[in-house]
Amino acid sequence: MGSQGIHSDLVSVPQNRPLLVALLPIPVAFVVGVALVGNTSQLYFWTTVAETVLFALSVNLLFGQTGMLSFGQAAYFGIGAYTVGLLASHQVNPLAMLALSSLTGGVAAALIGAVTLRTTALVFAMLTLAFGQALYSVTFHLQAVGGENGIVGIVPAGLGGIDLGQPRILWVFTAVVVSIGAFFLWMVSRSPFGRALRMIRDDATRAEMLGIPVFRYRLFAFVLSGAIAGLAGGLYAFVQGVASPDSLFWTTSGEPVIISLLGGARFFYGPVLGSVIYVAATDTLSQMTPAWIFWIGLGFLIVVLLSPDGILGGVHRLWLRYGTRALDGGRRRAR
Amino acid sequence: MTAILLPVVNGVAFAMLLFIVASGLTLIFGVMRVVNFAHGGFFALGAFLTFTLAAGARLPMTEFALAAVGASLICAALGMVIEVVVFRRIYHLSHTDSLLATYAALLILQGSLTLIWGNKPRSQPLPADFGHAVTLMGVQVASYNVLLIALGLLVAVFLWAVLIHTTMGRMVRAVASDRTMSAALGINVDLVFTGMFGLGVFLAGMGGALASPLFQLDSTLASTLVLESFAVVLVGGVGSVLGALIAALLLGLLNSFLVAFDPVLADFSLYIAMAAVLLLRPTGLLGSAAMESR
Repeated sequence: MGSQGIHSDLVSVPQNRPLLVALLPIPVAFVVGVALVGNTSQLYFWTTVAETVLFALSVNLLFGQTGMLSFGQAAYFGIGAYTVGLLASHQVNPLAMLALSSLTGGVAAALIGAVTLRTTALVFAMLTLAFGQALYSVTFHLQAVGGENGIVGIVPAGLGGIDLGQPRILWVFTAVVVSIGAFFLWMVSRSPFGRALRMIRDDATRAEMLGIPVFRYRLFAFVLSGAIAGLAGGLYAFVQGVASPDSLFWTTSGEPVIISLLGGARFFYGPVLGSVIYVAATDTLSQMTPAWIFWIGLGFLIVVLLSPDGILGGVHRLWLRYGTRALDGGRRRAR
Repeated sequence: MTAILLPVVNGVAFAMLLFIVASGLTLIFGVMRVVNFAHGGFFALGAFLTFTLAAGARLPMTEFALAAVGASLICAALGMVIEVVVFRRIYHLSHTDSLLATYAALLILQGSLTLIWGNKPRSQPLPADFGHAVTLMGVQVASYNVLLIALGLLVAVFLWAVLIHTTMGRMVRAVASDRTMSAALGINVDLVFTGMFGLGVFLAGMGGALASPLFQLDSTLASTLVLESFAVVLVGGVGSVLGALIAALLLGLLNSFLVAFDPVLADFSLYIAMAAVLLLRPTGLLGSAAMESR
C-alpha cells in the first residue's frame, strides 16, 4: 500500500502473502525463545502481555475498526473468566473450557448488543457501561460465585497429560491460543465484512445507503468481539488463577480502549504494540515508585500530544513523509 | 412518615453533591464538547487540598468554608493551566480520540495525589457545628446533609442566573451552539473555553471539598462519583444544567430508597434504571439531538 491509499484502508495490510509467510518464523522463534530461556517472572510477564493483546484486539474490532466505543467489554471478559472459574474444579478439558468461555461471552454480547445497538456514539458507550456495571454488581453480591472475593485458586486441568500449571507450558499454550484468536480477527479485518465495518465507521449513513445492513453488521461485530473477549477472560483465569468481580469492573473495560489508542486504534497491530508498552510500563514503574500512575499519565500525554492517532499513527505519518520519498527518490509528493 | 422522609433527605443530599460535580462536567461537555475523564481527578484534588488547608482538624464552619473555597480556587487555577497547555490541543479531535488525553490527565492528577500526600489514607472531620443531627418534622437528619442540600440549590440558582441572565452567559451559550459563528461575531472563544473549564473544574473541586468529610481520602477517590456523574450528565442531557439537577435528584433518590429497602439490589437496579432512561430517550431528559452524534 503506497501513500495514495485511502484513509479507510489504513488498517489493511500489504497483499504480499510470500512476505508474510517469510516473516512467520519471527513470532514462532520468539515464542520458543521465551519458553526456552525465560525465567518465571519473564514468562509471567509475556503470558500477561499475550492475554492482554487478545482482549485489546477484541475491543479494537469494535472501537478502531467499527467506530463503536463500548465501555462494557469487561462484562464479556469477566463472564469468560467466571466460566473457567466455575468449570475448573470439575476437571474439564481446558480447550473445552475456553470454547465455553467464548460461547458465554458471545451469547451475553448478543443479548446486550441487541438492546444497546439501537443507540450510537456516547449513549451507546454509556449503555454498554450500565449493563456491564449491572453484571458486575451481580457477581459482587452473588455468593454462589464467591461474592466480592470471586473464585480463587483456579488451576487448569491437564491437556492430554501435559501440565498447564507449569509456567513454561502455560506460556506456549497461551501464545498459541492468542495467535489463533488474533489470526481469526486479522482474517475478519481483511474480509469484505471487515471492510464494510470500516466503512460503517467512516460514514454509517453512506454505508446504509449502499446497502450494507448497518445494524446487523454492528451486532455481528459486537458478538464476535464479546466472544473473543470471553476467550481472553478464560485465558486470564488460567494465567492469574482468579476470576474476581474486578475483571467485570468498568475500569477493566477502559484499559483495552486506552491500550488501542496508545498503539494506534486505526491499525490492526495498534493494540498489540499498545499492550506490550502498557504492560511493560505498568510493570516496571509500579516496582520503582508508588506514584507510578503519574509517570504513566505523563507518558500517555506526550504520546497523544505528539501523535493523536497513537504510536503507529505517528510512525505511519513519518513513513508517508520520509520513507516513501526515499523509496521513490523524492518523485512522489508526500501527503 | 419517618421511613419515607429519612431516605428522601439523605437521597437529596447525595443528589446535590452529585449535581455539583456533574454540573461542572456537563458545562465542559456542553461547551467544549470534550469527555473529561480528568474531572474525577479534580474532585479528589479538591478533597485533598481541603484536608491540607484545614490541617485535618475539626474547624468551625467559617474556617472550613474558607478552606473549601481556597481548595476549589486552586483546582480552578490548575484546571485553566491544563486547559491552555493540554485540552486546547485536543478539541479538534473526535470525542473518542480525545479520550486518551483526558484519561492521561486523570492519571497524572491521581498520581500527583500519591506524590504529594503519599499512600496513607487521610480523613477530614466534619466542621464543628455540623457533627450533630437536627430534627426535621420529627425525623433526626444529619445537619451536614441539610447544608449540602442548601449549597446544591445555591449552585443551581447561581448557574441558572449566570448562564441565562448575564452577557457572559449569553456568550457562553453562543459559543456552545456554534463556535465558528461566535468567533466571527467577535467573541473571544479561547477565553470562553478557558473560563468555562475553570468554572467546571471549580465545581469539581467544590464537590470534592464538600465530600472530604464524608469519604476516606486516598487516591481511589479520583474514580469515586465519576461514573455517577457521567450517568447524571447523559441521563440529564449533555450540556443541560437543569437536566443534570433533575437526573441527580432521580438517581440520588432511587439510590437512597434502594439502599434503605434492599441494599443487594441497589447498584443493579440503578444501572438498569439508567439504561432504561437512555434507551427511551437517547438524548437524555432535557438534551437536544444535536449532541448525540459526532
